[in-house]
Amino acid sequence: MLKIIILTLSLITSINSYSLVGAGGYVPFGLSTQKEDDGSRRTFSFEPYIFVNTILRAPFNHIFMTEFGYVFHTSKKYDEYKKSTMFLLLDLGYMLRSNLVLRYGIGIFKTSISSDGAAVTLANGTGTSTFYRPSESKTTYNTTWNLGIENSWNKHYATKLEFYLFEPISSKRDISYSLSIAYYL
Amino acid sequence: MYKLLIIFLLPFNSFAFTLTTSPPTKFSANEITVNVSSDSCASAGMTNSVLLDMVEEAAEEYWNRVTTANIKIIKGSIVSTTLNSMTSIGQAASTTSPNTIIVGCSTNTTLFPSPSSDSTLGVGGIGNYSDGPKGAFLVNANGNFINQGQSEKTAVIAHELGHALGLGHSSDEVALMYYSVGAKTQERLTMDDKDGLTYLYPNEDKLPASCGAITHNKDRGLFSLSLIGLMMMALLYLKKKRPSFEGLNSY
Repeated sequence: MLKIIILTLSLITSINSYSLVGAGGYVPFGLSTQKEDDGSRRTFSFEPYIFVNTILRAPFNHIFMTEFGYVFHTSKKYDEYKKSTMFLLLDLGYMLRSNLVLRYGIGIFKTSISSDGAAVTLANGTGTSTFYRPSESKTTYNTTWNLGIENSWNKHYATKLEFYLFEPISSKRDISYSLSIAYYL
Repeated sequence: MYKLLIIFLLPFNSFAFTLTTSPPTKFSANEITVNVSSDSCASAGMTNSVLLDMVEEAAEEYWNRVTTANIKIIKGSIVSTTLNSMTSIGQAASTTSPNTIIVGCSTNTTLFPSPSSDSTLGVGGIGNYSDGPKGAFLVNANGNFINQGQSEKTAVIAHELGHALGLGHSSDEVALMYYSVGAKTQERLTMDDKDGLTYLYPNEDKLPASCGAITHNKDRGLFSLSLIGLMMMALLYLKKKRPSFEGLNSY
């Protein structure tokens, strides 16, 4: 997978193209995930992420935008297990205006979860019981349909809001989203 | 910017999902049928049919929505099995078929001694047997389950389903898999619950053309590309409607 990503990015960057880097916040499944004990969701619980993006001209007023990103899962629970998310987006951008782009495309998200396999004693009914943390790493893959809007403020900076529809034609479909700032190299 | 980074990296208290066993006991199939035993649930304030419907609701409202996990819980039927004499969840699980979960109401005082277990609403688990993995959970028909509201009952059943899928308790007080219902409102899973299920049942298919959360459909990638093609055509049509564009100056 990593080889494919590197090869793809190498190929793209070898052609006449623009590149940019950026950082922002990513909310995984914010509308379907409970955050507080009153039932409220984690709508604005952004987790930091970084990305690199390469832009190629394409026909019909489009640009081709390949993006590779990495999410740093920083919530409190990740002290006891590690979680990492990488993604590759293959987006097309339609130039609504010279500085405004409608992005759409497909993506693949790779999420890995691992821990140390330690035994932990937790409350269970009226007593306690021993449970276990994960002892090895497991990786899950998801495909997405993406839709977003990107606005460049000047020749160096742009902001982007993008939505990712996970498993779009499955009954388990769910939405993640990100808000980020990009810098044109 | 540096201040922001420091805030992100501050240490927090630890919360995390756990598993019932190590290495984890889990189902080997991706579709798990849940059946309800024929034991009376009158003491728990419901019929077997109602319990079966509640199991389906719990599955659909909680576990069947985890898009990063490759497992689906399917509503089964009421089966002619009695679980009331079972004194452990392992015994109950042994009565069902591999890759299924059996559910029932129990008034067994060895499993749920009264009054010490009255606040225990149910018990669930999973085991590996010679013919395959099997899960079970029992509602404490002598306890306080009957006094819970409808949404709390559904959450309790979803919690026990979590055990039957292989998850242990979580130390995250907001998580469905926290040991106590308490006063919280449990309307959906937390990220901790989702990560637990994802760890046990990940989508391991890397190919976009066939990576499904529930069933594998080899036309998905083609379908996605076709949709993008259609969107491009639609935008091309829109372009014809517009007199001009400013070009790609910013990119």
